[in-house]
Amino acid sequence: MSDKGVTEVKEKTKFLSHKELIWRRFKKNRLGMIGGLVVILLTSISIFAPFFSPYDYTATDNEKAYKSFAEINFVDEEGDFHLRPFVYSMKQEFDDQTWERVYVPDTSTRYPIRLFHRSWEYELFGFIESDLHLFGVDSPAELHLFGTDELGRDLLSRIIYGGRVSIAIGIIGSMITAIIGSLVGGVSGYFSGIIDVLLQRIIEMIRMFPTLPLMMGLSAAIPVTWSPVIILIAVMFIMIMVRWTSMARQIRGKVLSYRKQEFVEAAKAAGGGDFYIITKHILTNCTSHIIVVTTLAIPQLILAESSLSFLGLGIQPPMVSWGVLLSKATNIQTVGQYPWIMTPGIVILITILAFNFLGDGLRDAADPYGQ
Amino acid sequence: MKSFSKKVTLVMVFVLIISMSFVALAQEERALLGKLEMGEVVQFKNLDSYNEAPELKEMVENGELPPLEERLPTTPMVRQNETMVDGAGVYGGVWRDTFAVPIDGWNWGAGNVQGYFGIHQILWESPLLRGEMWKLNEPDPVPNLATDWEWTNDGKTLVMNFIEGAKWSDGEPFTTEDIAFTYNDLILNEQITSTATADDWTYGGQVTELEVIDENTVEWHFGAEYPMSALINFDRNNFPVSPKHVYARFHPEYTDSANYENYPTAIPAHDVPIVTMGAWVPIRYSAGEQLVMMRNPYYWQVDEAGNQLPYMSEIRFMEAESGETRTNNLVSGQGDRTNLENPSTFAMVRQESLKEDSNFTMSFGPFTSVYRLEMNLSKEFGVSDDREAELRKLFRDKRFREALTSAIDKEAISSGAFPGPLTAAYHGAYPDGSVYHSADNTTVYSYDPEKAKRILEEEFGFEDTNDDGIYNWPEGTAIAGDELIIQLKTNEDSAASVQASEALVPMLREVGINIRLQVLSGPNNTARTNSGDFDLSVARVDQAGTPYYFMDLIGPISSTTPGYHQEGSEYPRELLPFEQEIADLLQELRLSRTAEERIDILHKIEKLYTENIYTIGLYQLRQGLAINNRFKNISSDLPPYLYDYMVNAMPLQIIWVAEEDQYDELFLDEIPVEETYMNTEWSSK
Amino acid sequence: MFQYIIRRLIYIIPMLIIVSFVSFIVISLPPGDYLTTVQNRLTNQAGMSQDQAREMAERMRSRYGLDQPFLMQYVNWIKNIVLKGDFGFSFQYNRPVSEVIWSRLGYTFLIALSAHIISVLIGVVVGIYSATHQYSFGDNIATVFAFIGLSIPNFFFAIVIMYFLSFKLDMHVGGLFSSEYVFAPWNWAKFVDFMQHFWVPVFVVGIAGTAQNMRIMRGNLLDELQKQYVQTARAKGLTERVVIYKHAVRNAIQPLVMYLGMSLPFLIQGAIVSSIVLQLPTTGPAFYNALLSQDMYLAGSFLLMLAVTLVIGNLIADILLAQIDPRVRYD
Repeated sequence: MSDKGVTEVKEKTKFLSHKELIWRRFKKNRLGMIGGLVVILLTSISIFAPFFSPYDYTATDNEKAYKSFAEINFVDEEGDFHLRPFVYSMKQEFDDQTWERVYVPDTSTRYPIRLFHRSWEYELFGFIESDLHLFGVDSPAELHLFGTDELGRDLLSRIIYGGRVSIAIGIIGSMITAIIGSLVGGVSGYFSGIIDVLLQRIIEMIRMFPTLPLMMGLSAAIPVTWSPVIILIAVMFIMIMVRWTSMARQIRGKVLSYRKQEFVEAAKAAGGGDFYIITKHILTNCTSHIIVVTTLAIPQLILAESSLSFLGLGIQPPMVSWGVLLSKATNIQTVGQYPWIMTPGIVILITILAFNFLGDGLRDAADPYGQ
Repeated sequence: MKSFSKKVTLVMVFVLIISMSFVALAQEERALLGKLEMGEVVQFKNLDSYNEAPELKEMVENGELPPLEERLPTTPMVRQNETMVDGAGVYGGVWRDTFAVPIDGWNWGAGNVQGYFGIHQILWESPLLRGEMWKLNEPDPVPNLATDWEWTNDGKTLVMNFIEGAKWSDGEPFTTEDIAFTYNDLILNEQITSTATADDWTYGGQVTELEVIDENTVEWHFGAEYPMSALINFDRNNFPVSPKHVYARFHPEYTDSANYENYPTAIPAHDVPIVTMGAWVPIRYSAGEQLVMMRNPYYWQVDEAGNQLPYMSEIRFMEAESGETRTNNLVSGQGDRTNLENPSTFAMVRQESLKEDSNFTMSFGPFTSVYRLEMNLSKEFGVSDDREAELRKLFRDKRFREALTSAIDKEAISSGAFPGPLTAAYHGAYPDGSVYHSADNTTVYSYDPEKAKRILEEEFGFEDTNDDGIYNWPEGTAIAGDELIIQLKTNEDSAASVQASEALVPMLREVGINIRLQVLSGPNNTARTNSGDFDLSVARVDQAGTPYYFMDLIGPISSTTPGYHQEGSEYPRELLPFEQEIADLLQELRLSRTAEERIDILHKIEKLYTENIYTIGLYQLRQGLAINNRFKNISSDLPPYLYDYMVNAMPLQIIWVAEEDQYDELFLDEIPVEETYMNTEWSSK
Repeated sequence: MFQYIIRRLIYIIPMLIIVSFVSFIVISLPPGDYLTTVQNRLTNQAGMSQDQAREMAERMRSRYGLDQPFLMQYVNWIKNIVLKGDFGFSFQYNRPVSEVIWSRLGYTFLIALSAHIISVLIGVVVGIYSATHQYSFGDNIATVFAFIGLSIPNFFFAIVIMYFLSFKLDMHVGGLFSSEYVFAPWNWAKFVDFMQHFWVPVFVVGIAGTAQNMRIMRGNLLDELQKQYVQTARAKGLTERVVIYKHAVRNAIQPLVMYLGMSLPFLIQGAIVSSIVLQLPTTGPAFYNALLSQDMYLAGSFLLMLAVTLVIGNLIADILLAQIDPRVRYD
C-alpha cells in the first residue's frame, strides 16, 4: 500500500470551514440567492437614496399632480425607432367631460433618458455634496416612472426615501432585537434556576399580548408634538420592546442544548467566567441561527411599521415610510382614479419576499436537517 | 325655388326656437330660485278633508292610533303647490342615506350630536326655518312651529304665535311650555351645553325675556329696538325645541333627584323611539350599522289636497366610518344622495354620472364653501411656553400676516385641489357666490414670496443663522436663535383640508418657515381649537357666504368666537383695533333692519377683514349635490347649500317616488304608538 | 394529562392579572382624558366660564371614578369585571362597554375562525397536491402563490381586493350587510347577503394562513414520503392512494396541528387591520377610534379580551401538543 495514494487523496481533499460549508449550500438555493441579491440592491438604494431618486421627494408641483406612469417611447411621431428611450414634455390640461387632469405630450422635442444625469443638489450623509443622479431627463420634461401624488411629488423618489425609513427600522430594529434577545435568552438558558424562571415568566407575559393592538396602544401615546425623528425612534423602540421575546425563547432553547456539551465544561475548567462563556462560546455557536432569525425578523418589522404608519399611528409626515405612502390609498375613490398610488404596496411585497427568500435560504444552508 | 327654401328655413328656425323655449320653459318650471312669495311656500289653514298614508289608516282601524283629525293640529301647515315642481305626491317608498359621525344620544337640547348628515334637520324642529328661504324673492325666515309674528312696542317686543293643537310624536300636546322650557331652562342655563347661549340673546346689554301669554302665544322682550337678527336665533340650529314632558324629569330645576352632570346623557343612542316634532321618528338604531326612522303619525304638515306629510314612509341611514362612504354608496346604488364637498371626488362622481346605467344626477351650486388658514390671535389663551407667546405676538402684527399670505400661492392650491372651474383662489371674508361679496371691498395680497422674505428679514429681523433654509428668531425675543417652527393642525376626516395643509408646507419652507403639520382626529382637532392650544389651523367653512346668519365666523360676537381669537378665563381678551371695529359693526348688524343696511355693513366688514388679513383664504369651491333619479319634487336649481343643507332646503317631507319605482319598506309595522314609547328605558327613569 | 392542564391553568391567573394591569397602563398613557374634551366643550358651547367648566368636569370625573389614584381605578375596574361582568363605561358610545364590545368581538372571531378553518382546509389539500406532484406546473404555481400570500401585507391586500371588486367588477364593498338586511331577521336571503360581504375579509385574512399551511403540509408530506415505511407500504402492494392518505398524510399533519393554535392570534390581528380598511363593524375600527379619543375603558377592555383570547388559544395549543408529544407534559 503506497503513501502516495493517501497523500494524493489528502491533497485533493480540502477541509472546508463551517462558514464555507454554509456558503456552498446557500449558493445552490436559487431563491435564496435571488433574495440576497434583491436585498443587497434594496439596501444600496436606501443608503444612496438621493443618487437613485430622480427628484427631491419633498418637491411639490401642482402642474404635475396625479401624473400616471411615465410614457417611455422608443418610436417617435414619424415612426422612427431610437435606441435610447425618450419622453415628451407633458402639459396639464383639464378634460371637460371626465373632469380629470390629462397630460398632453408635446411631441415637438424628444428628451432622451440620460444616465448619470445632473439635476437637483443633495448632501449625502451630511457632508458629500453632489448633484449626480442615476438617471433623469432634461427640463422641462420630467420622468416620473411611478407617477406623482396629489401634490405632484415623484412617487418613485418617495418610495426610495420611504424605503430608507422602513428598511432602516427593519434592519436596525432587528439587530437591536437580536442583541437583546440573544443576551436575555443566553443568560436565561445558561443560568437556569430562578433567573430562568423569572425571565421566562416575563417573556410569557409579554407574549400574551396581541402584538399589533399593543403596538397600536403604545403608539397612540406618542405625543404628536415630538419631532418626526424622535417619533421614529419611539416607534422603533416600541417594536423592539414587543418583539425581543421570540428571539429570546429560541436562543434559550439552543443554549439549553449547548450548555451540557463538553466544550462548555472545558471552558469552565479553564477558568472562564460566566459571561465570557455565554458570549464567546455558546452564542458564537448560535451565530448562524441568530443571523437567520434576525433576517427573518426584518420583514416582520417592516410589516409592523407599515401597518402602524398606515393607520396614522407610526411615522408622521413630513417623514415618509412605505406605510405613510400607503395611507393615502385607503380611499377607494382615489385608488380607482389613480391606481399607481398602490405601488408602494408592491414594493413592500417584493422587499418582504426577498428577505423571506434570503432568510429561508440561510436557514436551509445553516441547518439543512431542521435541527 | 330660392324664396321657398328660404321660407322653409325660416319656418324651421321658428319652430326650433319655439320648441327650445318650451324646453327652456319646462326647465324653468322646475326652477324655484328666488321665485316665490311666502304665501306660495307655506300657509296655515284649515282644509275640508284630510288624507293619511295607508299604513296609518290601517293602524287607526286597528285602534292603535287615534283618527287623523285628532292627530293633526287645528290649523296645520299647508305646503303650497307652487313649491312642488312635480305636483302632489303618492305615499310610500324609502330614502336611503349614510352618516359617519357617531350618535352621542338624543338630547339635542344639551348639545348631543345625532350624526349630522341630515339627521339633525329631520329631527330638530324650531320656531322658524331658513332652509327654504332660497325659494323666496325676498329672503325672510319661513314660519315653522311659529305661524306668524309681529313687532310691537317700538320694536322692543316680538309677539309670536305658535301652531295650535299640534302634538309631539307620542301624542302629547306641543305648547308654548316647550318653548319656555327650551329657552329658560336650556338655552339660558349655563350649566347645560345647549347649542345657543345667553350671549346670543343679549341685545342692548340685556338678556331677552320670554313671557308666555297663553298656550299658543309668547312675547319676547328685548333690550334694544328692532333687533332683527334675533330672528336668526329661532332657526333649527339655535333653537331646537325639546319636549318638556320628557326632559323635565331629568332637569334639576324640576326634579330633585336629577343633576346637571347626567342631563346630557339622559337618553343614550340605543334607547329609541324618542319624542320629536319632525316628520320621521327614529325607531331602530344599531351602533356602527344602521339607523331607521319611520313616518311620524302626528306630523303637523299637509299638502294642499289635505294629504298628511311626509310622502315617504321610511328612512334608513347606514353608519360608516368616513363621509366618503356616502358618496361610494350613491355611486354603487346603495344610497340615494350625497353632498359633493371634497374636490378630489368630483372627477370620479362625474364619470359615474356619465355612464349609461347611472341612476343619479349631479349639480353644482355657486361658490359658497371655503378653505381657510386661521392664525391664533389670542395673546394669552392657550399659551404654554415662550415659543407660543412669541408666535402670538407675530400673528397679532399685521406685517407678519401680510408676509404669511404673500408666501402662499392660492391659485396653485386651488388648482391642486381641482384643476377645473369648480374651485378658485379665495382671499378671505366672503366667497364669490355670496350676495355680500364685492371685489371692490376685497384687498388681494398677491403671491410674492420675495416680499414675504423681505418683510421677515427687514421688518422683524429674522435671519438664517445656521444656513439650513429656516429663519431663526432674532435677538430681543425670548427664544432668540431658535428655529422658526410653526405648528399647523387640521382635521384628518377632511381629506381636502389635509391636502391643502400639505401643500402649504413646502410653500412656507420656501420663505424660511418650518411648518410642523399635525393631522388630528376630529375630536382632538375640536378639543385643541376649544382650548386655544394651536398656532395655525386649516379648516373648511361652508357658511362664509351667509355671514349675516353666522356672525361668529367673521368676528368677535362672543367671548368664544371667532375660534381663532378666544377669551381665556384668566386674562381678558385684547382685541386688535380692526377687530374692535368689526365687533362694533357686528353689533350694528344685529340691530339692522333692512337688507340694504346689512349689505352696507357687511361690505365694510369685508374691507376691514381682507385689508387686515383676519384669516388667510386658500380656495373656495362650488359644492355639489348628487341625488338618485327616482325622486320627484326636486327642483332643477336646488342649491347644495345656501341657507341650510339639502334636507331642509327641499324639504324632505315633500319628496315622493312613483309607485313603480318605490323600494319596499321594511318596518311598516314598527311605526311608534303610545305603547312603544312606554317600553323605552328613558320613559321609566 | 389532567395534572398538566391544572398546572397550566394555575399559571394563567397571575398572568391575566398582569396582562390586565399592563393593558390599563397602556391605555392611560396618553395625557388627559375624555373629560378634558368635555370640559372644552362646556366652555365653548354652554358659555360656561373656565372655572365652572373645570368644576363640572371634576364632578363628572369623580362620578366615573377618574379622579382616584391610578391603582384604585385599576382595582375598581377589575373588581367590576370579575364580580359583575361590568367592563366600564364607554364615553364615545355613551353606554356600557359590554354592550359595545361583544357584537364586535363576535364578528372579529367569526372572521378569524372562518379564515382559520378555510385556510387549514385549502392549505392542506393544496399542500398534499403539491407534494404528490412535486415540481409539476401546478406545484410551481402553488408555491409562487404561497410565497406571495405569505409576504403580502394584509392591509395592502385588502386595498387591492377592494379596488378590483369596486372598479373592475363593479361590486359594492364594505360593511357586512346591504342596507335592507341590517335589521332583517335571519333568513336565507339575509344569509346570502351576509356571505356576499363576508367572504372578502375572510379571504383577505385567510390568505396568509393558507399559504403557511400549504407550505408546511407540503414540506412535511415530502419528508414523510421519503421515509422507510412508505417504501415498505408500497412494496407490500398497497395502492398509492392508501399509502398517501392513510399513512403519510396522517403523520405529516401532526406537526401542523401544533401550529394551529398559534396562528389564531395572527388571524385576529389580520382581521383587525383589514376591517379598518374594509370598514366593518368589528373590533378594528372601534379599538382604533377608542385609542384616538381616549375612551379608556373601551380600549382597555378590547386589549384585555384580545389578550385573554391569546392565552386561551395558547393553552389549547399546548394541550393539543401535549396530546401528541407526551414529553412536553413534564416541562
